[in-house]
Amino acid sequence: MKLDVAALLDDLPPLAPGVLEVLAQLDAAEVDYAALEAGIRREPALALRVLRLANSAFYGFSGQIGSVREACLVLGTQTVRQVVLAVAVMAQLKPARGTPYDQRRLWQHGIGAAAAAKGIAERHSGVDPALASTTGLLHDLGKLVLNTRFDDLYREVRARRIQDDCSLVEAERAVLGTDHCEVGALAAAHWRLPPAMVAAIRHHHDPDAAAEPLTDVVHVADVVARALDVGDPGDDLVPAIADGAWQRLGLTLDGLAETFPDVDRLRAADLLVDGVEGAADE
Amino acid sequence: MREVRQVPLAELAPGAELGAPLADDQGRVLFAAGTTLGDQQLAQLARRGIESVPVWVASTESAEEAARRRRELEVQLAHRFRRVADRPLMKALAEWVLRYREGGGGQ
Repeated sequence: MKLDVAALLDDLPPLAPGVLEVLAQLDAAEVDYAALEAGIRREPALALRVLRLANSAFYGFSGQIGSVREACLVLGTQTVRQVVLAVAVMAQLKPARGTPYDQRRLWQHGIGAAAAAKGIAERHSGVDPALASTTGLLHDLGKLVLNTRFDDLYREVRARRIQDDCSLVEAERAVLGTDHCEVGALAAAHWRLPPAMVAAIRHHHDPDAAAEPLTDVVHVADVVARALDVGDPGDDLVPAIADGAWQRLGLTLDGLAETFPDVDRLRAADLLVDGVEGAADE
Repeated sequence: MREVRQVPLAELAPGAELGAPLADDQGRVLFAAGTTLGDQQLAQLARRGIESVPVWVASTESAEEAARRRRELEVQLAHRFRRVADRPLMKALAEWVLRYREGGGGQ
């Protein structure tokens, strides 16, 4: 069969208008913090998460940040952008009871990949580390879409994966005629995320097809998060790093290993997924 | 080799590294795992009445325990890397992860 992806997109609600407004404010050449604070405060889930993150140990102000404006200054606009996008996506893709995969653990994998992508971008590429981090966080967006919108079919995918001991992406192609890369890219484009991010989501399993630095970074970051066993990407197979991506980035293993502690530190904190429902059926 | 152990606050010197996230009574995370506890953080913990914290210490693991742990790690990694074990780069990556985990990284 071939999943009707066009119908899926018709059915996918847009990101909340308030969230788009906040994203636009964050993109402004000069951020108006009063307007940004007002925008964030209109979305209570967003305000809560921004405050919690700013008061977390990472930033050294435990319990001292009381206003959204202070929180935005502590976090910086790039981190706020990442939180805003994550909260917006989580709001649209909430797992129902008994979805095939534990969504909390899928997000944890994204957080691990985000940390690895940021580390790789900072050390080994011309890619903006903040963009790399956000794309790492959302690279498996398609799994969230399939898990929440097509849970019956995705349960079949899961059964096929276990039966064949294959990767999740292979089982998706066999059962659905498409995969989370394509579905995720379409959802990301539907939500008007940046084109480079859409391309990285589409090609993170075959980076040579895109041959773009952001895609290469996210591809390798996914492998690192899997190698370190962070969260649950839906299967227990570490895929090969594509030779082309490795060469284009000019990576070395000791350089890559420098990112391992960052990945573990974020895993320990799990701040973004606090309160995310898991809802897997086992 | 090192391991995480619960150590009384009074015995800690500045520079100790948290081995697990530290939360207050309401479950709010005060410090993430990996935080280095300086004078300021130690004073903050004392003010909150926290008596002991999980920190990294030099391991007292015996040679047999260390060997067993290494074997367990090797089995886990061989399982996760089972489809790519014949690729030199991936084999080398698995070895790096093994060395990192053996040294206490993140565990």
